Amino acid sequence: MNLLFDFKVDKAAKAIYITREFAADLDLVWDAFTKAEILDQWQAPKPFKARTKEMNFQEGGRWLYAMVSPDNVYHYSMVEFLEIRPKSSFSTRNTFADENGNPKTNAFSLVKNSFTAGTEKTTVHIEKKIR
Amino acid sequence: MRRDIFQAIADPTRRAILVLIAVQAMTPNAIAEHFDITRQSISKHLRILSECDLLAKKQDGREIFYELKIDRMKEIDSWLDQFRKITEEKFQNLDQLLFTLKNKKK
Repeated sequence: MNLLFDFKVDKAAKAIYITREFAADLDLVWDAFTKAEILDQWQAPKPFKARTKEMNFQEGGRWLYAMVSPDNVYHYSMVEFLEIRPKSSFSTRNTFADENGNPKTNAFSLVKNSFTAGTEKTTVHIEKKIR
Repeated sequence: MRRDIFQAIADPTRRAILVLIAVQAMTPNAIAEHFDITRQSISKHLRILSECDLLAKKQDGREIFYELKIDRMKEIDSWLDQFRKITEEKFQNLDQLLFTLKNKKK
């Protein structure tokens, strides 16, 4: 199956727009983006591994996870859930953090993930604004 | 203070300044002549661009010339390039995982 991948950058707005299709139904794709045990299996680019320390998927909750390097160094990131519309969209505020979720820099990004069910596939649209 | 490089290009005047000095080194006065804004706000934009480490200063007699540090501008592109590659790779991981998960369900 041909799966769409679109990656657009608006440098002036400091925004990245990504659209990607996945060959699975909405329920499964939604779970893959929101459940720690699934996220850990695909979030890390090789040779890194993703390891979740905390996950509380609800508005005001957070996901604290690490990218673990081959020599076992943990680089933590924190994702705070701002707004959740089940099986439709969720928005987050993302920062690099320490192991307790304290931000490491003032920089953060605001991300909105939207999900649209199709025939035998699901389209995910990601809008990332760097602040 | 060091600033995020994205801050530099967020502003249209600063983008225009970068285009000007990419061609040739210019004095603040020469830069200001291209804009309909006060010399003071040009100085402010130049200060922000300096803080983003995008400007190289050259002294020539009594005059100061600004030129663009091309390498720093390239950093944005290489970051975006890297981010795109990582995103593609993550999604390919997910494709495989979804395939496995779907077969488990059956």
